[in-house]
Amino acid sequence: MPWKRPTLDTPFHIDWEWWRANESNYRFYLYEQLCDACRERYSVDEDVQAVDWIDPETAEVTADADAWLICLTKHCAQEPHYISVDLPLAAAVFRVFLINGNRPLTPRQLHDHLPWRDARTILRVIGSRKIHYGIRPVVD
Amino acid sequence: MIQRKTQDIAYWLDAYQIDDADHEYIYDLLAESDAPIPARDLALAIIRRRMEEEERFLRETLAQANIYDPKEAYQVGDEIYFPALGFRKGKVTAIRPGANPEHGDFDVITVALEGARKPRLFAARLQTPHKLNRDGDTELPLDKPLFTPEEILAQVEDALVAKIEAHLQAHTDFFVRAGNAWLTADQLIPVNIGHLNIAEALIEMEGKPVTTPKLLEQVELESDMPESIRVFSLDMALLHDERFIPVSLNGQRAWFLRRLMPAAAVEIPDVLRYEPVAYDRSLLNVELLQAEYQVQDEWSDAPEPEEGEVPASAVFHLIYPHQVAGTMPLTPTIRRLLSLGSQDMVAAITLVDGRWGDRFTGWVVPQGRYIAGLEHWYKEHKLPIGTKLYLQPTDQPGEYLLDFKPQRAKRHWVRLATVQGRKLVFQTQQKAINVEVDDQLLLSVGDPSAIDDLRQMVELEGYSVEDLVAMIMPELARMSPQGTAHVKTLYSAVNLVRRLPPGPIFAALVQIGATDTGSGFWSL
Repeated sequence: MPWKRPTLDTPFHIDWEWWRANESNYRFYLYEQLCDACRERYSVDEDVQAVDWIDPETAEVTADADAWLICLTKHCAQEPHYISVDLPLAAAVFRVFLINGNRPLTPRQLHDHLPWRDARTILRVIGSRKIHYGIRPVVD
Repeated sequence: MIQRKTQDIAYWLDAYQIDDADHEYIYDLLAESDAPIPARDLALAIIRRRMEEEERFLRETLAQANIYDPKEAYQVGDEIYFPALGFRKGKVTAIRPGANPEHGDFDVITVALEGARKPRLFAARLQTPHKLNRDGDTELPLDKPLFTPEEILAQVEDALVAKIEAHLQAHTDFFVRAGNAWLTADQLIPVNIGHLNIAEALIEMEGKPVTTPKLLEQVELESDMPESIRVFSLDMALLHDERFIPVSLNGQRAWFLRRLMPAAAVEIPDVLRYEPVAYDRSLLNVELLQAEYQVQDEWSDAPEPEEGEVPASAVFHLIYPHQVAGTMPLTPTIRRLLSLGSQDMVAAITLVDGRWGDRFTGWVVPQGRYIAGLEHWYKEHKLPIGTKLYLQPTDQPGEYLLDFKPQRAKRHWVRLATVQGRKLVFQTQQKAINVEVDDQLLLSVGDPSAIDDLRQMVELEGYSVEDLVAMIMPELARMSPQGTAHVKTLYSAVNLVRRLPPGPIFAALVQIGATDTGSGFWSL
């Protein structure tokens, strides 16, 4: 498919297919996004991609859950500086998508999550031909 | 630990609905009470009842129940209560081994929860520690109540009281209200026409408002009933009889006869009716603002005086609308002098004639911002428009001295307002004035009925404030050799035909291009 220049209103997301095709070690990238406490809980080589995840409050089980992703959303994302101005912009966008369950967001909407960078800068970084962290426009 | 539903503020604000049990509980509470109960107290009782009910359910129903603990092993068919889900009940329908290296060997049970369409999965035989582990504790994992009923009410009062009142109002066959309090319809003591006639005669005899307990001394309602219910029943009957009108007397509710009240106390007279006008207040210069402050109009947009000590007295000037309606303005200062607060009910005060010492009733009408009942007093003393009047409290509660300053009769050039065609015109006339007046407000009226006709025409034809100022200002300016008129004179004259505070009149004067010639005088 020919590359088409995205705009401020183009929705983006993490394209896991891209990860499978281009980065066999995407789990390593994901692990990097865990907070210190979660990294301590899991080792990088542990296979927890499809586990019975147990809710710490209710003991309800989520089957076939990726323990790291759940940790990211339920625990790491609650840390006050999980997404901060110190992070590289592409990594910050990646974390926004990890936290929101990979719901597509436009650069304008991403700016609401990362108010210290304007929407055009966000578009420039994630909308270029070079793919960062598998963040790509949503293809219908 | 579980979060009790009744400890959740959002539950009271949104989800809570009055059910049949609450309805009956309210009814029983009211029926057993010796006095009407305010809706706020009913709200508190409901919160308390629901909390107790929840506590009882948790203690009694669940004490014998199989409470879910992830450490326990379960069998297909077991019935379990889930503490983290508000103690919902569920039945185990399947068991399989769990898969998560973090937790080692454990089971995943499939549970059909009551009222849920989809089965849900829970951990069982879990060896790693979990919040829901009871570790042999036979006590239920209940949280301690975080809020008392009073603390909950403090956070949800407006919403909950509104819900309860809406319910009670929708069931008038069961509940009756008077003010904020409620009673069951069955508790009302029947009040017949004979009782009401006695009340009417008593009020007429007293010649002033009478409180309900005082009326009950003569109106004999079932004396074995509690006084609060007798008062409530008589209040309800009086409220529904057009002859009577509730008024405030020294802060207490009292009753008077509509037919004995001055018309202005029952209904706002047309001459005093003010429809707020939008205008550009920034057009008013310092002198205009000073003039506005001096006339102390009750509808002025000038900032209210800061709350502080009650003033010792108040000064105001008589303008035409108040003269013909027999009223005086309820300026912010007078309001504070009377310690009225924010009440809306008509209040009775005693006015003492500063000249002759006669006492008469003044009727404070907060909605119309005036005190009625002065018609006779104005006529008796022949007070002209522009008279400076004084009001000050006596040493008796609810009693105020109303006075003016007499002076030796002095001949004044008075502007006499008459109607010519569709216009208000003025001519000067020498008149002996024997009271202190503000010369700029001083006016006399030739034919009040012609002025009234013109007022109606102005209203019917929708004259704007600019139209009125443009009609009246040239007529006033024409009377002076300098071709000027004072802004207070303009205010006094405009009020002959339309009730307006100074702000919009002065702004209109600027807008029609008049020129400030100094000291409050303007020319066209």
